[in-house]
Amino acid sequence: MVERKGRTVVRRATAVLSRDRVNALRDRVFRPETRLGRLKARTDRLQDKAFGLLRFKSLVHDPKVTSRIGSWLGIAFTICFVTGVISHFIQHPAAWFYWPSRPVNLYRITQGAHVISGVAAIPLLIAKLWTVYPKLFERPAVKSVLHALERISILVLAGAAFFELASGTFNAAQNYPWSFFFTTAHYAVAWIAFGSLLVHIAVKLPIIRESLTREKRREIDVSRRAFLRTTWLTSGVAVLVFGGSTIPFLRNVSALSERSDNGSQGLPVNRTAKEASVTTVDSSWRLEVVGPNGTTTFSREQLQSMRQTTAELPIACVEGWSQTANWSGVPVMDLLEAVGAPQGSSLRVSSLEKGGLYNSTTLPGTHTADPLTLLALRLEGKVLDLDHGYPCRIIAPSRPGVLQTKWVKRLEVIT
Amino acid sequence: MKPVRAIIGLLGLSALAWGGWMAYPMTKDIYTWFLGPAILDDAIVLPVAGLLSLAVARLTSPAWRWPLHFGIGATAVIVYLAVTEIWRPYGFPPKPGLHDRDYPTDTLVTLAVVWAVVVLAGLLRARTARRRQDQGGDPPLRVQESPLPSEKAGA
Repeated sequence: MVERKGRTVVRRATAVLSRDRVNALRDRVFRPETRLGRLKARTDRLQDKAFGLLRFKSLVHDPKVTSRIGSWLGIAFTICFVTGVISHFIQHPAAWFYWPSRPVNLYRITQGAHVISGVAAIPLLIAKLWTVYPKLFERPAVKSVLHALERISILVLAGAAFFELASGTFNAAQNYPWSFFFTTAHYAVAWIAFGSLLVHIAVKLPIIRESLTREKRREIDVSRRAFLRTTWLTSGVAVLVFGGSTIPFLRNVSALSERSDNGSQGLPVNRTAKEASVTTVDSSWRLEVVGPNGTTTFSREQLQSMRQTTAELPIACVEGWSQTANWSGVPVMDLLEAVGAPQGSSLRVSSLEKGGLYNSTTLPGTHTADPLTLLALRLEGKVLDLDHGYPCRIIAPSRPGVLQTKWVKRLEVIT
Repeated sequence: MKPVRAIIGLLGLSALAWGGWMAYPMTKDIYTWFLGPAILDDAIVLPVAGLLSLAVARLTSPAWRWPLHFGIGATAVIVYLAVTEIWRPYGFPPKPGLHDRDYPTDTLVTLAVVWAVVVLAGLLRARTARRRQDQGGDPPLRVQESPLPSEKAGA
């Protein structure tokens, strides 16, 4: 009984939303003898004239081409979304979240993939929108309520996609011509972009499946293939000119890479000592380690006299650039042992930097238990520059650069 | 098929709602950056691309068409990425090893390389087309005469 009632409701709702109903309603509102009707007739004539000039004859305005580019765009956006969410949770970990410390390059790879797939998606998005451009002018503009909703969802998808690509590329350049906080806005709109992408796939799935069948793929002729190849090539160029930020062998090819080889001690500096207001560190500096038995202090000389480990580890920035360097210092696990804290304890790391969003960070137990997580004292065999965190900094495998706290003042065991 | 679509759609709507809920309280600027680039693309980028394609189709031989399309597309992407590094009234100042390259010169060199590739590819394709025509065969590139550029994109 309930089921029958439910079906009736659905049938009635569908009837209300049907194209015929909408058309009938429109005809009633815009009766030709009324002023509204005459206005509409005049607007229609003008539109006909304007749209008469638009004759999209190109073979690339074809679902087969759209689906091919759309598939690659979907892959690029999925990589962007997944890697972006991973990066978000590393920086704002939920209780259930686990991020391994090995392989040491894991974060470098995920964040590099995030930025590179985003850059590759720029030509893909524009090419895909070009293939469906005639649909923007299709008439009637709204055929039914469902059709209107579908068009709005496409606007949301395009808006969110452009927002993510534009804000992401400007962020990679540390350029912020807007008033919102990039990190939270980029994260929120990423969910909108990925959500509307899924809705779009759900709506278009029959067309996508039909267009990607082997028979349809064989129908892609020379000119359509040429358009697709031009799109892939342009995406490749975008990756080439940008990818050197993170892909070592592209370093000398990428003209628009964020990083250069001019960093102090051969490594880029994302936050200088001057920006952090850490001007000098004198011999009175002591590292405070707060353990279960109280606070223990270490001078730099004492730290140097402890067991030193040298490791080749990357600095991998959230903005996409990364670079490997040789770091030497005291394994954090040795410091935990020295203050009587259990291995695998989490640590709150505080910097001499007073302000800034990252002057205090949490190093999870997975990382403190890794023998390659260091309180680094030297970089490439030389004492750390002040810009790189003198007197000591955290360097841990597979972590975002912003969490590799510089100018460390205090370590506090928190679990 | 239908359940799969329904599940994907519901997952999408949930993600969309979650993102919208997070974005809603943010500054109005977010809406400008949400709609601005999409409108710019539909109102300027795509019509200009259409007109350029039309010009390429009308003014060049088929052999040159796709190399030129590649050149125009690659130039647009390179110029956009260059703008993010060169136009910096709202950017952080360059730091040691970051954003401190000579971007204008590097961009011009990259564009020169791209267009050298375009010219080379165009010349090679034109020579191949001529040779095939001389051998009495059908001009192989004729089949490419009605691609992207052939519409009248008057928007």
